[in-house]
Amino acid sequence: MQQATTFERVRASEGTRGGRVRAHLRKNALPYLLILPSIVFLAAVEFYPLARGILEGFRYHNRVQPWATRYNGLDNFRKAYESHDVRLALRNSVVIVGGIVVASYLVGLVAGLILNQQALRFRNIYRALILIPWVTPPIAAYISWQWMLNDFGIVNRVLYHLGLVSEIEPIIFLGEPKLAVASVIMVGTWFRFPFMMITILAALSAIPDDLYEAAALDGANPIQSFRDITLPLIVPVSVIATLLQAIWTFNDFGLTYVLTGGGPANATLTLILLAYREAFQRPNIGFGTSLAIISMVLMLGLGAVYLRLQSRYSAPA
Amino acid sequence: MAVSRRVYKWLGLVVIFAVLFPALTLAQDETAQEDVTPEPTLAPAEGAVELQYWDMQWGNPIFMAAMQNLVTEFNRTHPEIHVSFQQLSWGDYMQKILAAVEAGNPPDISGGDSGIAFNMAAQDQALDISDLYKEWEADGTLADMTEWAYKKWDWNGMHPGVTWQFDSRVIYYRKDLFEAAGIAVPTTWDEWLAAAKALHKPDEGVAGMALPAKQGSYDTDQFWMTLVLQAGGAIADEQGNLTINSPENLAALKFEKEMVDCCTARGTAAWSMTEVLRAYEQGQAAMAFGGGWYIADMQRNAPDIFAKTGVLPVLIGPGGPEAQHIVSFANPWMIYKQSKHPEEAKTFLRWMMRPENLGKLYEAEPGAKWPVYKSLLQAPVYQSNELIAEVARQTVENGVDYWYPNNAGAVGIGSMGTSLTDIIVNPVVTGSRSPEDALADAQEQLAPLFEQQGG
Repeated sequence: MQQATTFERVRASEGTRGGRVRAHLRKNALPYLLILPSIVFLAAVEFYPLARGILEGFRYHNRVQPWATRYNGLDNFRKAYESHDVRLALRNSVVIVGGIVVASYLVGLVAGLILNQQALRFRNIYRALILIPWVTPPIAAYISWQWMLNDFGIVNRVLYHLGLVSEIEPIIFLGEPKLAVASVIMVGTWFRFPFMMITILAALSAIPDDLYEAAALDGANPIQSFRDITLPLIVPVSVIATLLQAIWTFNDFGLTYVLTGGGPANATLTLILLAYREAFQRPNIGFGTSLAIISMVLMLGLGAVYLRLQSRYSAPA
Repeated sequence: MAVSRRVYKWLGLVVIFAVLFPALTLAQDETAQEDVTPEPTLAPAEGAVELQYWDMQWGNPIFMAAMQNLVTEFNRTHPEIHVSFQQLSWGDYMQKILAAVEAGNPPDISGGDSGIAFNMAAQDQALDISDLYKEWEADGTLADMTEWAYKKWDWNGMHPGVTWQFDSRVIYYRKDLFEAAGIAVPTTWDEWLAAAKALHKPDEGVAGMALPAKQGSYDTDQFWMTLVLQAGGAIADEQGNLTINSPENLAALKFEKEMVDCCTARGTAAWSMTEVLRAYEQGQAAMAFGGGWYIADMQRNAPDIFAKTGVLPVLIGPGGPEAQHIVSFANPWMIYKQSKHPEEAKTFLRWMMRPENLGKLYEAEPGAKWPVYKSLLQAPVYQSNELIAEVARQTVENGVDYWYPNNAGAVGIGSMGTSLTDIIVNPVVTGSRSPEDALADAQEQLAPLFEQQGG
């Protein structure tokens, strides 16, 4: 019986899946070797801590009760489901994120529409000024806002000089629950609207002028032009920017931590702040991690929507 | 096409929103930090045992320089040992220490919050320094210490740390306002409440009492805990079980609620001690709860208010004269069990605890640190002005902290974080829950932290 040649044996092995993989690796070893250090680094600083973190969410792990550490299955998640504080934090997060996203979009839209006007002088200067909130270090900004919004802060001083409040009855921006929520939304909007502006401005710049000229010739007024031309054409970018903004805002720990500490009376307690409180202050690391995992799953869901929309809007017509 | 005026108006609003308000904060006049450079540190001698000492940013640059200088002096006088001092920030010190502990490379000695030694002991990371306590008992050091400074650390058959300084809370008051209203300085809760009501003049922008009540802030629970101690209450019992839901603690909480409702500024629910101090310095409060650092701040920023300020005596609450206490956090130094040179670490700790050496730290920032030794009450730093002298005296005679009188619940107490603020004080102050509900909820939520104490 004739024995298969080496060539024939190789060709035969390449017919299997494992063989195809090996063949691929043999031909393309160098690129894999070159990215290996990055993968090792990422594994060490991202994947491994993430995996360990996720496992932590399935343990009872209180830092000051190391003898009681044990795997407890889904108990942390069950506790989160039954917890009034978690439900409240989730609701607050939705309200605050929703408020910031909508308000920052509207302000960003107005700013973008204004700055898109070709005849506007010193456009670049205005654009740079409006970017200031976005480039300010967030914690420094939030601390400044906390000072400005407190009873003797500059906001109350200005309102007093405008005759809108009395000196002895300032507006308690951060001390009354509903006002505290509004203040958090306002500060969050201030911090995040420049990103919306930049994104919408880019989309507006891509709209051909002849569409507006044609509409004007047909007798459309500015509102009709905006409704029928501008809005439909910036919807794809708007949706994607809004989703990204929602993800970033949801994870913004510093905003409520600095401004209100989650108060008053938990009015501005968000899920991410609650996770921090549980993990580092209680210090029930297991339960705190489970809240962070819940937050991560919610954001992964938003992220999946983002990717789907991105591929839909990027696909050729 | 020219841009319409309306567009410029909208643009102006947007720019103002973006820029103007934060820009105003940059225009605030900041007191320049003094540039203080510590003495040059020494290089370790050949063969010297090297120790790592980590401690917090306990004060201004002058204080931190004094801390480094003290370490340098130790190194100079003990060439066989070389201590390297590393400063930790309050924001992430526990994460750093825990990471070092888990990596098997903790410092040899550290400071930290007032419960750190218990937390480390619970994780079997704190060296028992009972032998040092025996020495101190024999040579009279303990007799000179305030009782709580050493008694606090007698825990579970060991001593995991030793107090090196107290951080106290008192009530400052405007002597001139009291005199003008003909009100005697209060000595009891009832007199205090009556004074606050009489001096509360919202039409004139003056609150009777300024206190912190912000959620998520450790400042907030300190006022309530002062009341708890004076009501004869406590956080844990002799067996280490949580006793937060007790009649004494309820009385304290109801008193605070009454004080807030009648006699504080409307924004109190969002105030930390920063706002309290600011209100007091601006003449917007007749009394203010706060720490020793208020004194130096008033001297610097509101000298006219400083001149008219006194310190209320330790008040008698429902707990009677036996419960006349103020909150004074007994902050420890501790040695880690993983230290490869425990004897040398004890030599360092022994040396740092000498009154003459601790005195150098206390002198560096008057009003920031309060003495553990009774003999230091007469030191010039504690006689430098009336306010400092009074706070020092109250610390030595009446100062205790949350672990008083039963430190059996030490680990649980140290692991509550801002729970007292978040579950109890802030919700009650804002009126969103009743004192009874708040305490019952806190008892249920926090009880697991007090189980299986000490392992």
